[in-house]
Parts: sequence; C-alpha cells; structure tokens
Amino acid sequence: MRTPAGVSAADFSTALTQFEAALGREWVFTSDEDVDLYRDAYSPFWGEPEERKAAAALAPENVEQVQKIVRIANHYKIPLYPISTGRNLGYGGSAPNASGNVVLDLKRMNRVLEVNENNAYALVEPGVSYFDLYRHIDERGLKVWLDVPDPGWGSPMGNSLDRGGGYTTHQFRNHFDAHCGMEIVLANGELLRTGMGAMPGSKAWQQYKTGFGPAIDGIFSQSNFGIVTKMGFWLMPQPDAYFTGSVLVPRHNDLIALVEMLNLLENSRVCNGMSDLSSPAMGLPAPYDAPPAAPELVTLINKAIDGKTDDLDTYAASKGRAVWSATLKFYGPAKAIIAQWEYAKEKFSTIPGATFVDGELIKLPLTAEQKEKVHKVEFGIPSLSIFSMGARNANNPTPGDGHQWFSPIIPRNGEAVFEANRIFAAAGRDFGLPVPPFSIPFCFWERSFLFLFGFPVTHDVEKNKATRAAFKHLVEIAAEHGFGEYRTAPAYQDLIMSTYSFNNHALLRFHETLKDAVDPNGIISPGRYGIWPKNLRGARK
Amino acid sequence: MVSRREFVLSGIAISALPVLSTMAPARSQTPAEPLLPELALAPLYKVIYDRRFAASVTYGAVAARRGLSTHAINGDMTGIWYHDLHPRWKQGPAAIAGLTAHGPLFCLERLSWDFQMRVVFREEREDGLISWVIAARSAV
Repeated sequence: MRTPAGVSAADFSTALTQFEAALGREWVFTSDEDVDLYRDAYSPFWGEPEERKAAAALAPENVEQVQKIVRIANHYKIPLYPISTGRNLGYGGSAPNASGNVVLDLKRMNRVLEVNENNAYALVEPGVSYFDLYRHIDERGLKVWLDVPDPGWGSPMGNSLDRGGGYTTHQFRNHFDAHCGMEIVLANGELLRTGMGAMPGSKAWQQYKTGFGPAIDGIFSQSNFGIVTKMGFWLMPQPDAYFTGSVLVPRHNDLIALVEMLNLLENSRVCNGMSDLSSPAMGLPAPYDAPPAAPELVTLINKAIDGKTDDLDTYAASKGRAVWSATLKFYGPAKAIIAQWEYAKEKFSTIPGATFVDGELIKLPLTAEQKEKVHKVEFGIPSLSIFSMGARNANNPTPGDGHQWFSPIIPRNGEAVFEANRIFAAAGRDFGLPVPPFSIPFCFWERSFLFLFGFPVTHDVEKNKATRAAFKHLVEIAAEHGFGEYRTAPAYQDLIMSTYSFNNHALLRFHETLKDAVDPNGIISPGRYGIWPKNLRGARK
Repeated sequence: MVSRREFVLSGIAISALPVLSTMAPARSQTPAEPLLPELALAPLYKVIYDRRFAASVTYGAVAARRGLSTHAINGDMTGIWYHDLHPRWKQGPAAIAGLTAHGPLFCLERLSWDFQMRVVFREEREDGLISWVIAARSAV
C-alpha cells in the first residue's frame, strides 16, 4: 500500500481506521485492485515512476461525512484529492497531482436536489452525472434542457469546476458561467455557501449569482481551496425550434471578414448557437477515419499558411468549393430564428462571392426517432457516441491508447487563426507530430477561439517522453506568442501556470497566499492547477 | 497532433485479466460455429455486438442461437446505456458480454466500475476487436 508523502505508515494506518469509522469499512478503498481504478488511463507518464497514483480512496455519501474526513485528514496532514465522477479523461481523469494523495470520490453523493422548471435551474450533488440529471428531467417531462459536454458521462459539477463547455447557446455553453450558487466544505471542515446561499433561509440561492459582497465562486474552480458539495445551474428553457444556415466564402483571406461578421452576429445574439467553421476546399475538419490529405493539397495549404494564398484560391475555384464555411445555429421561436438567419445572410452578403445554404428547421421537442438521428449534444442530450470512433481500420491501423489535449485560447479574428497555424504547423514539423494540414478553430467560448489538439498517449514510455517534450515545446511557443491554454491535465499544470507569469507570477503568488490562508496544512488537492501548499512548494521549485 | 474532430478516441484496459481458452461451450455447436466459451463465463443479462463488423455480427448471432438476449450497436452505446444498462445496473450488477472495438468496451468498463463490476474476461483478436465479459467479481 502506498502512503502519502510526509505521513508515517503508522499515522496513515490510524487515519484509515478513523476514515472507516466515519464512512463504514466498505467505503474505504486501500487494495491496489481498487485504488488502481483511479489511475489516469490517459496519463502521459503511464508506467513511469512519475505517474501519479493515489494511496487510497474514500467514498462518502453525504456532506457530514465529507466534513469528518476533512477533519481527520487535517489532523494527520493527509492530502485529499476530491473528484465528482473522475471521468475528465484527456485532462487528468481521477488521478491526483501528486502520488500518495487519497482520492475523495464523491460519486455516492448523487442526489438531484431540485429542478425548477418555471425558472429553469437545478441544484445537484457532485456525483450526479449528466445522464442522471437528464433522466430526472426526461422522466418528469420538464421543459428544460441541459448543456452537455461530449462525451456526457461526467458530472455537471465536475465539468463546471474544471471549466468545461458544451454545445447549445451562449449563456449555457460555458458551464462554470452557467452555475449559480455553491456549497463548499473548507479545509478546516467548516461549511460555506456562496451567493444568496449565505443567507439562512434564502429562497433565491439558484436565482441570483453573486449575493452580497465579494463574489468568490471563481476561486473554487480549477483550484484547491475547498470541496464543493452542492452546486446550482441555470438550465435552458426548451426552445420551440432549431435551425442552421451556412455561409460559404470563396477565398482564403475571406476568413478575416467572415469571422468579423460572425463575431458581430454572435455578440449581438442574432445567432445564439455554437457556430462551426470548416474548409470545404481543404476537406477540413476531416472525419477521424479519413485518409490523409493528398500531398498536392497539403502543399497548397502550407503555401497559404506561409501567406501565398493564390494557388489555394485557384484550386478551390477549380473544384467549385468554398475555402471557408461557417454554419450558424439558432435556437428559439421558428419565425424569429428564420428571420435572424435572413438578417445574417444580409450581413454576410457584403463578402464578395458569399453563398448560402439553408438548413432544416427542426421543431422541438424532438421525437424519439429524431433523437437517434441528431447530433445529440446540440440538443442537450448526453451522448457516448464519441467512443464509437477509434476502431482499427485501413486509415487507423494502430489506434492509440488515449490522448491529452493541448487547448490554447486564440483571439477571435482571422489573422490570429492564420498566425496560430503558422506557429503550430512549424512546431509540429520540428517535432514530427502528425499535424493536420490546417487547424480549424472551435467556437465553444464567446469572444475567443479554441484550438484543440489531441496528443496521442501510448503505453510506450519512449513515445510518451517524446510527446511530453513536444507538448512542453508547444506550450512554451504558444506563450511566446500570447496564446495560453484554458485547461490541462495535472502533468502539465505547473508548466502552464508558469506561463501566466505577468509581474513576476503575481497571479500564482496570490493563489499561494490564498492557499496558505484557507488550507494551511495543504490537505486539499496539493498542486492542482499549479497551486502547491507551503510545505510542498519548495520541492516543486 | 490532431484536432478533436479528427482525433481517434480509444482506450485500453487497466486491469490485468485472465484469458480463458479451455472452458466448455454452453451447448453443442455446429462445426463452423465459433465456440465462444466466454459466453458461458457468467449468467449474461445482455450480449452486445457491433453491426459495423462482420465478426461481431456473427458473434451476436451465435449468442442469440444460444438463447441469450442480444443488442446491436453501431459503435454508440448511448441508447443501450440510457434505456437499458443504467437502469438495470442501478438495481444491482448484471453481467454483459460483447465483441466490440476498444472504444465501446473502454466506456462500458469504466461505467461498470460504479456498479461494483469489472471486466472479468478480455481477449483481443487479430482484427483488433475484443471479446469481453463484464460482471460482478463474485459472479465468476
């Protein structure tokens, strides 16, 4: 059995006995067979000494048990690593930042405490999965939607606290922004409620976000200042209809005007869904099982990335394909969203050569048959379909063992997309990475683009070492150009936090000041998002 | 380095698991029919096969001929998870088997952990498909 760093075997054994008294013996896991379930299946250190492995796991069923655990952990200085469902694969899963932590598995705390249809909000515990909450709503016929990530096997609380995103409208896609009110167990075992929840007897905990005084919810996301045990979320009223429309533009440099207009339409809420960008001429984004792009086309794309765009434009014209396409998505009353699309077409018509394709108007709610055919996550339906990809085939003869995301935020303009592609394509060539010919940005977030690169993780130590080196290089080169990642796995959290270094790392130093104040023994998730407690800070540096 | 949409999502087993090769088939077979001894490893609630792969369809047909309840997927487990396995497993462990690609197994394996089940049989074939059984450890 592993033990936490700095904790004697005798103290750990005594603490485990006390955990068993608090939870019941069956909810304290110490065997390798059980504890290994918390390994990160996509760890870039898989099988190496640096792989982060837990020492034990605890599964409380209520807030009072969490408080008892925290008090015991504080007494023996045992680091806890809270997880909700721990399914955030690609960003770390359920493995802690440091080996020897005790995973605090909150999956048994799985009650849907409230869903209010009239004012469209929910209050849930950490172990409530998207499927659980969807089922609660579905079985009662409530006219509210979730916004779900893909895959939807995790939890609203975990995804929100890690600042994940979804696929419906602006105000719900950013899952942390869509929360309203938290309950938190602090490192000393005390219970805290934020927003209106700080007032005993408040009847508006999930209806007004900031309450009174400093709004502190944000410090409990991507952090280690407390253990969130309840969280409220605003839900989306079920819309009457859904509609898509695509605009196609003929030339490479039209992306600049296309994005400018898209920004105007999104920021003024003319279109409220998550837009999709693509390149018909480049065949991007390609299906996962598509053959590699033809070398001749790759040459044209590389020339365009280097600023010589004429040949790609000529190629696109000869094939009758647009270089860029943007698909806009609309949720709302049918008459209104059709009119909004007509207005969007007027605005895009200022781009010479722009053409349009009207999509299908889908009246809501979906029938059972429709639910099977649509892209579920765009309709707030949790899905596991992403796991259907990756089967071995002619174009994918050696499927990987996992992935880690490199996910920099890129300014929302066409020039930045071109610049980022120049930077990342060059880095990819330098490190021999399977770089796509051109990376198409995602529109998850308002006001910015997101690039998502999946680095393959294998169980081959040497390949993983090379991949980690490439990842580090990309983080550094991105930071040199002002591009920072929004989220990452524990293996890279110190690295990426080090790039947010304005004024001699003032932000990290502030985090550390907070950490020392609210968790002086450093028992909650030491190292998470680069925030180490005082007793471990020296070793890290 | 590939984009999310282009990326191939797959996983691999964590546990080291037994490979069974000597168990007797559940009942007499036609000469050309695969033996599939794993289908007799535990009382099975459901057998899952993937229509995208001929070998998996054959597997499903064999299971059906043996009187087992089968469910076809096209790689996507959302339907069987939401409508069948999740409600069933909330009542207690129920063993399932399948012949699928890595992805569906990886997903189901991790979901099954929350219901005190594990992959108790796993055998990768030359074509990349995996024959597997998920059951409560005590069921085997």
